[in-house]
Amino acid sequence: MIPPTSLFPKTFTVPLLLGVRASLAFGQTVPAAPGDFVHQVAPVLKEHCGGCHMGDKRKGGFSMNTQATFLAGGENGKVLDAANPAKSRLLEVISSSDPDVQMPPPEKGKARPTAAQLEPLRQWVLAGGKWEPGFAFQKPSYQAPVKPRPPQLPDAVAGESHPLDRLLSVYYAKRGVSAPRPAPDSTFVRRVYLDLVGLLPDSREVAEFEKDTAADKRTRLVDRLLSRNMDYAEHWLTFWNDLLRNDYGGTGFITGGRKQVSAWLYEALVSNKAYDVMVRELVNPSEDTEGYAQGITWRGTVSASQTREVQFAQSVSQSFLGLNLKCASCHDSFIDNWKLTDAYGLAAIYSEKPIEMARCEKLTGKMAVPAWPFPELGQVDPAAPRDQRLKQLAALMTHPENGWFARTMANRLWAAMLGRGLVHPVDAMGTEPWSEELLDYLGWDFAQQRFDLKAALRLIATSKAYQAEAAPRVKDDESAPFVFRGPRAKRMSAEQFLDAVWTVGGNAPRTWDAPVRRGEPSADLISKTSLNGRRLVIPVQEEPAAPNSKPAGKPAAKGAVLGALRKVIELPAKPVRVSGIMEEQGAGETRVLVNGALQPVQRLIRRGRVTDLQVSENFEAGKNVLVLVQKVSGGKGAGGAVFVELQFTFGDGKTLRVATDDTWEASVGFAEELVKGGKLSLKHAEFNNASWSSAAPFESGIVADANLLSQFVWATQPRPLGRAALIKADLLQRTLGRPNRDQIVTSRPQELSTLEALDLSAGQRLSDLLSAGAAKLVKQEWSGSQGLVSDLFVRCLSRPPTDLEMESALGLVQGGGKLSPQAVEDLLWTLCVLPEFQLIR
Amino acid sequence: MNPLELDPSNTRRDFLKKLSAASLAALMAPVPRVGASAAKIEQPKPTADSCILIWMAGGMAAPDNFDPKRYLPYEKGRPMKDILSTFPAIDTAVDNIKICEGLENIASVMDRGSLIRSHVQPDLGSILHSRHQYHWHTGYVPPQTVACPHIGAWMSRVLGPRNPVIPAFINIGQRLDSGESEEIKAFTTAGFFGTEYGPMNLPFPEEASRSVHPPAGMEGGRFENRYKLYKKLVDQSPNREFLSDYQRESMLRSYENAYRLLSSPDRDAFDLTLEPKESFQKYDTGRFGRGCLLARRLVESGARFVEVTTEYVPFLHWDTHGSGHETLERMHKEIDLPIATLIRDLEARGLLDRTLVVIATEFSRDAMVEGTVGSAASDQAAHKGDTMEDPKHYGLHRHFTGGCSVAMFGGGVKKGFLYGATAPERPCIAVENPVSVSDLHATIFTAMGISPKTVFDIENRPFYATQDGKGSAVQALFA
Repeated sequence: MIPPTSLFPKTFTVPLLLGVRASLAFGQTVPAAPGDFVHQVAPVLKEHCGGCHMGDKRKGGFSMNTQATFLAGGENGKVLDAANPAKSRLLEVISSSDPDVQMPPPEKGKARPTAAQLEPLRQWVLAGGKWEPGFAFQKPSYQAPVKPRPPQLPDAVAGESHPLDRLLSVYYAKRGVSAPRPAPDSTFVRRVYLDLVGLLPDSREVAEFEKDTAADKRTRLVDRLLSRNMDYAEHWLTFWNDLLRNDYGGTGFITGGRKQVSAWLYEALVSNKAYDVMVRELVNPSEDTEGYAQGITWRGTVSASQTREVQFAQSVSQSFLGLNLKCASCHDSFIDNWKLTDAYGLAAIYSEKPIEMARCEKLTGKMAVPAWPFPELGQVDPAAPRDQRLKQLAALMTHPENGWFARTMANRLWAAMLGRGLVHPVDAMGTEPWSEELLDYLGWDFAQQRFDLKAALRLIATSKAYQAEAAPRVKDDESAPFVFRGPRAKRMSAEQFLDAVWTVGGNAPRTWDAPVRRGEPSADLISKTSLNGRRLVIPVQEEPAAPNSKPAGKPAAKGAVLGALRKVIELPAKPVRVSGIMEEQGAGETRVLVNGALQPVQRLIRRGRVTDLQVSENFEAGKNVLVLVQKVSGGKGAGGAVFVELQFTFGDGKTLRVATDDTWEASVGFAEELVKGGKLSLKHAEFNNASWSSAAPFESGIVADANLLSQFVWATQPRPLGRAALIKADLLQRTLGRPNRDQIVTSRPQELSTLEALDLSAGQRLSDLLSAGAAKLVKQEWSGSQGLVSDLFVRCLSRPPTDLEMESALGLVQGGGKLSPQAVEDLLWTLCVLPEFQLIR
Repeated sequence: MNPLELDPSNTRRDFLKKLSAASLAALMAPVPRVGASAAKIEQPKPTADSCILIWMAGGMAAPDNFDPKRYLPYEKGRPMKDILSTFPAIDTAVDNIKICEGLENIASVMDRGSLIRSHVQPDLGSILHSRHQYHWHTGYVPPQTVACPHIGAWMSRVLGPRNPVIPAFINIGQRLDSGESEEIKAFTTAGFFGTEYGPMNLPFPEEASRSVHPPAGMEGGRFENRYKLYKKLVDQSPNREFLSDYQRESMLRSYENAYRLLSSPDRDAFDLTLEPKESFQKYDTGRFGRGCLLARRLVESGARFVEVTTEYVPFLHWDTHGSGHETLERMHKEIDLPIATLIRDLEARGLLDRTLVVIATEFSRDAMVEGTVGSAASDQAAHKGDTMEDPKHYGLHRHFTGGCSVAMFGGGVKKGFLYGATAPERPCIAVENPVSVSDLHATIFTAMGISPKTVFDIENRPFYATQDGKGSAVQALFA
């Protein structure tokens, strides 16, 4: 058998072309018969077609690398006509003199095949075009398996029990490399905090961990961190936002051509929703998740490869299968096996109506057939209606037999944790991993664990491989085949960097942009709380035709009839916080006024008409008037009910509850405009003078509603501090590599550029953050400058300073005699820009 | 592609000293495509070393600026369709070129450059400024499947800086935190080239020097001390085994580069207070005018690509949906003297021959036609009546993509040359030698010594300097 060979040695190509006997590379001597494939045909194909159709080249989607690809043909169909070989396209193009038809195309400037070359080729085609068995111009490239491959775990050596380490010990032995050494505790603790919850450990956490002598302390720490649901979610949100190109503002939002999936995504992460469930909800979307599938709709016309349907094809294949169909959404890919029909097949599943395929912006006249790219697992029914097709696609994508799907996410998680994927880059899932066994195991286990993302992270984080010392990188290691020698240091993401700076300085923001509900209250706290209020009827007019307080000479059309409820509240002092909830029933929209000022309200993320009230600002000591108003003219809102319960907290820690109840009063009034500049235009005094009567209860008894209770407890509990992943990208975050999420992004830049360094050195934003942090730090009690330096080192680097470092740092901090905010700020800056800070080792 | 060979002002010693500063982030960026297709690309001989793009953001109406048509003054009740230009034509230093009243200073330097009157844009079915600006700045119509680099990032990536301490791509005058800011940021970027090639953004020219000075409060040696401590701690790091790590190295180099600029005398170029008063006043018509001055100072110090914009803010400046004539009177005052002074100053310093100055905009405007003839674009003019009833109705309030003007000065283009023409009557579409965005970019790239077919690999796909490598330079424009 002839070995697959990418080439004929040069020395024998020429004699072959002359038709003489030649010695083959493997030492055999064979006669050169007319039409002999190996000696007379293959060299001609190689010479005249190889430039565009062999190796990694596949012009027109046609590759001659193997017999299979040769017979498959390209975009223009098959090159060999089995029924009528004389009419084969191969012969037509290679012998044509028409410059528009001939191959190779005339502009290549190469000599045409000679008659002596063409004749054996023609003979060979007429004889059926048989290849020498096993011959290939290029060894078939790696074929990634689609189905799961249940792993064979090697025997445990030397008490090694972790499955990943058992697999890796075989890998190390085979590669002749030694297993990396375990990282010291201080390195591990910093790494695992940043990787699992995105935050630096504080000094106490570092100390406690180092003091712990239990053998399983690392595993316990991993479990502890993974159980911090909110912190976990707010760190991994960055990974998912990048992967699903979800953001809180940006391209497309101003024209309504884009929708967030933030609320859904956040809850999915907090509750550790299974990955396959998440994907089914994204592929076959509901109102909460449709933003992902819809992509970005630009106003005006877009290229054929950017229609909503084709974006869907590109997105689902990249996010969930690690496949790049961007080439194939315009033409059959020149670099891999994906074809235009693959991209359009997925697009047609999503499309509301039949779509015609376009090749490089030109319509082909062929209609796309709904299909997905792995038919070996089953196929979408092209005749089914759209919602069924999407459901089928979601089921196929997450099918237990779809090992590709599980491996893709397992590889992403490995890459996020260890700095480089088993398959690299992570969106080239068709390429060979550096350890098939390890990837197979990760994917298989992920599926076995019912796609539990935290379980997958736990598996990785508890391995010796993850807990090992980082392997330094040498500059040119990208060109050499990758050998795993330990985790790779990762650059902090923009979000991690900002969170870290905020943590160290204690000055995280108190607001955020993501429309998410943070910090679920504990069941214990809920069980200890109860509501006091009852729902009240929004008063409506008896005779809508004649507003009872219509000012003379004003046309009724301009105004509105308002139904109002009010409560006069006596407070012993100005409260430090007033928070609670409002629930509305009926179609009207209720506004909340405190002493005449309109209050900002935020609808809670949950379904139902419950609103989060944070209304501290306008309450004062003494008499206060709280008013709820609704526009009730025009029938809207008539018959509605409202419930409000507020908790007042005072400086001395005392609290007071106020809720809608039978002490409230009701009135109906008329106003020209509902509100103006935050004030009721119907004068406050007029409301006071209006006739008020007792408010009518909507139902008997105080509210008994578990949902309302939990919302109330949530609204009144202390607010968590902001995290960078929850705010819109500002210039500093952008500087630090947070992407514009117009495209799916699966890896962030790992290098710091000069402009970034300039921004960190001279930019006002970081400078302001550090100076605010320093101002807070100097006010704390320190055991001298040494205490402060030591603590800042631990906060920033999770280790105390060496004696030398202490001396250097003191030189700066004590320069001015006593601790100054400037000196602390300078030390903070120095620590925060150190590679040791910005790299997660 | 060695940037410094192109620039005789740099000595070899400087070059060696500065080369060691090349950031490693730069080395990690996508690489030019190699192989059969790349081998054929011949980089043209550059006729310019620097480029200043003067960006008239929001759609500068050609008939009210560089392409005057029949002029009619405001008159209540006058049919809108009678209006082509709202400014009369004036003579320029070139016999066959007339431009609009209000641009007298620019008229006086028209003999230093070429005027293209036949630049055309795709209609895109709908007019969205940020989208057309994205197209103009990257050469690619959004949306795209990869983040496209700005034309300045191409210069930075392919040519590098002329002076290693002056960032190669500087963007003056555009705030990135105002209306449609996300859309503007989407093209104000090096895209897949990575931030090493991205813009240094200087939204306020008068505050530019702050960007290259330590932050406020760092006087009295504080900044130097801080940096000294940083260097010490880097040297004293106990993680010996990690010292050779490539990423660590990369960070250290980038900080060194930043520190070099922050302590280099070249940073004076950013400081407008150092400009002599008399000269400063010629530019001091507003932020845009001062931006032109900053651009000149930066090019003198070795900047590669500088964009100066009148700033895009929806419905402001050139984005006239109403009161067009009145707004343009103000815009003319803001741009006329600074642009003309920039050209004269560059010339006086012997820099104009090697500096290409391009004045461009995302599309033109018209009193009647939205988009272009037959466009499906929805009408966005504030006043939709058939006649002018108020002075604020007087102006070109609709976006027109069928023909607009681009002026080019210096950098090897012909002097006093007119190229292309639009129809004398509505629709004033380009009727002679239309120049697409791809071809215009090809012309600019060619002048700078970059083939329009220059190609990089991104996600294993070829990505060209002009869309699909198809732009071709307008050779007639070169002297």
